Amino acid sequence: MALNTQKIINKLSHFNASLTQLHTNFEHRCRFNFHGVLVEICMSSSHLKTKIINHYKNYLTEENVTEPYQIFWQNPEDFDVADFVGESPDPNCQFFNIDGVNTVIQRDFIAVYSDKKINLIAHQQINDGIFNFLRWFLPHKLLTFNKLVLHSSCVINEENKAYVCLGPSGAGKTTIASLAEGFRILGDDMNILEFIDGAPYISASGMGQRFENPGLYGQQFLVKKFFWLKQSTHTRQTRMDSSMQYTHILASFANLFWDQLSESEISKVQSVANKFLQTSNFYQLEFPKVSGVWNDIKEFK
Amino acid sequence: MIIKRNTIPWQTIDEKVVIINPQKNEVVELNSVASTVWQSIDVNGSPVSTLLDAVLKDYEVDSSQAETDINEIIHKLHENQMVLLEE
Repeated sequence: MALNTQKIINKLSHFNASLTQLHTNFEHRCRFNFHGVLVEICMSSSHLKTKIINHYKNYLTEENVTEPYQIFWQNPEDFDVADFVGESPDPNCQFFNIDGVNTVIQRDFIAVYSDKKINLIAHQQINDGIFNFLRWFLPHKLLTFNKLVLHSSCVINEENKAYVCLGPSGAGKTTIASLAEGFRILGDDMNILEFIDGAPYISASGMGQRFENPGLYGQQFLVKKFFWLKQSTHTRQTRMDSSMQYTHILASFANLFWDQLSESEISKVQSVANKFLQTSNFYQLEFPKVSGVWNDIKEFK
Repeated sequence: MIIKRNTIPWQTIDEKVVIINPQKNEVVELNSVASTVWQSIDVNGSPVSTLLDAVLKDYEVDSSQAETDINEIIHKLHENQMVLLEE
């Protein structure tokens, strides 16, 4: 276990008995509908509320739901962990059950949770704390709606059709998006996939990435092609066999934490992957890092 | 005896097996021979001879080479916590 993680656990253990009881006194609240997941974020600072409303204004909702997920955004200083949040080199989530309290510790946030109430401990800014929290929190909840977060970049052409680019870190997802002159970048890291009447649609996740385009938040785009990226000296599109497509798409579903999913949830993911195979528009794309590369890519049938 | 863990989700796509390994949080595509071996392992346990029969039926390979390959595949599956081994 990383030293920072151990220190955080030691600090939190002082609060364990009361951690799940903390959340009540935050007077500043706002509700968001993140792709179908209704969330109420509760804060002690009006300034923070203004900032989060400004950033996520397309997801703001007045929907009156009896039991939304309630996120109580706590200040790390109140738990004496401010020096440890945002300092670890490891971006992976680690799950703990500390004296019966479910806890996830990640580089930029800590979440202590039970069913629909979550104490989020993260710096009070719109940055990696809230973004990485949403990256952990939303993918699992979105499964309920048959939506999956794809580790991908995505650009939108003039006909409002999407090209979705997949690949492991370093494959060139951000690069290929930044080379797409004349396209709009939906996102370069996390986008949301769902099937409507058998057709794949993609939307921006709002979970923070280098290329953010809040103006496109809340819009869905039909996917024209999916590409598995491979940097090369030439531009070429080749079809992949089905098993490879299936493997790549499963591996591209972000932040699912397979060991945290139930059997039925895993079946649901497999079912979406099978729908994906039926779309028959997933190719390997070899590409060089040069401007104008999209002129070739657009010509591929 | 080789025992397939019944908690491992997997699917055959175009004759190749794709396994989700929750323990390692990864997705693995098996090659053709490993796919045949995996499909021949039962959750209640299968002897190596059953796996050998399956491989010899599907591939033109001599018995000793097939046995070497199967043992290597079993070792990897076990290492990745996908199967259990019992005497």
